[in-house]
Amino acid sequence: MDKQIMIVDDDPSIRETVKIVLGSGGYSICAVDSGMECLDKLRSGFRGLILMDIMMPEMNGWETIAAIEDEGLHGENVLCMLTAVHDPGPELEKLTESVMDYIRKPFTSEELLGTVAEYIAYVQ
Amino acid sequence: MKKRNIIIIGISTGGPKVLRTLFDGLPLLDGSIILVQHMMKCANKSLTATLNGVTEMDVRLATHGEYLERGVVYVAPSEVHLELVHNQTIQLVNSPKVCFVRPAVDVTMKSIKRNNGDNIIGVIMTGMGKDGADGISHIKSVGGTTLVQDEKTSVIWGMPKAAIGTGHVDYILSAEGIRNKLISQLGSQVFR
Repeated sequence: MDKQIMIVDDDPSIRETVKIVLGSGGYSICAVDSGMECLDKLRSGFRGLILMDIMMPEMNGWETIAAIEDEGLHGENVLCMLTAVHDPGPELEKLTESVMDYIRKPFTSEELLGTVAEYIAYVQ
Repeated sequence: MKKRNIIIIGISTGGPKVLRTLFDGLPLLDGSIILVQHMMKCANKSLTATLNGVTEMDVRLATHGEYLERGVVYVAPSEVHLELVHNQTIQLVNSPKVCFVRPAVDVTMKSIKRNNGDNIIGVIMTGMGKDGADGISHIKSVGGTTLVQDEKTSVIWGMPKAAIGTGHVDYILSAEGIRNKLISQLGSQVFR
C-alpha cells in the first residue's frame, strides 16, 4: 500500500478541509471520525502519516494513541496532532516519543501542507 | 591537548521541523554536536538523512564506543540512553526511561564532566515535559554555557520553560538565534 494521510477527527468540516487542502497537494487521504476507526485502519495495514485530533467522543486522541502503542500498531507510521487544544498538558509528556509534531487549529493551508511534506518522508 | 567543543541538544515534539531551521546552512563547526531528539526508532534514519542534506556538518546515527570527532553531529538512537565517557567516547546504555523517554537528554548532559577547559554548550528546544531541566543545571555546574529556545519559535514550550525555571539558563533565543550563537561561539573554521 502506498503512503497515505489519515485524518482522525469527529468534526466533518475539518475532515473535509483537510481532504481538500491535502488533495490539492496530490496526497491520498483517508478520513475517519473516531479513534476506533483509526485502529481498524491500522489493523488493516494502513501505512502513512496520521493527523490526530484530541477532543473526540468515546475515545479521545490520547487514548487512541495509547491503544495504538498497546496493540503495537504504530509500526513505521508517523503521528502528528491536529487539535484545538492549545496546551497539550501532561498526556503528551507520557506519549512524547510517539508524537512527531503538533498543529493547532485553526491552521493555514501552508502550515498543513508544510507539515505533511516534512513528515511523509519519514514514513518508511 | 586541544580543548574540545561539545554541544548537546535536547528536543522533542515539533523537533524535526525546528531542527531543519537550526541546521539549515549551518557551516562546518569546530566541535561535536550530540542531538537527542525524542522519536520512534523508525524515524532515526530519516532525521539523520534530512539533516545531512541541509548542513555542512557530517550527521550520523551514534554508535556505541565511537570517539567524538569535530565537525560531526551524532544523532542519539531511539530506545537507549547516550552517555559520554570522559567527554569523548559515546556509550549507549539500555537503562530505564527518564522523564518518560529514552534517550533522555538529562542522561547525556549529566554524563559530562568538568574537564580542563572543554567548552560545553547545552541547548534545550521545543518539546513537552521536563527532560533537560536537570541536565541544564548540570551543564552550568561544570562551567558550560546554556541556551534555550524561545516560546515564539517553539512548537511546544514545555522543556524550554522547565529549563528556564531552574535559573541556570544563559540565553533564550529563536532557533535561528541558537544557530547564530553556535557559529559565533565555535566558529566556522577549516580544521580537517
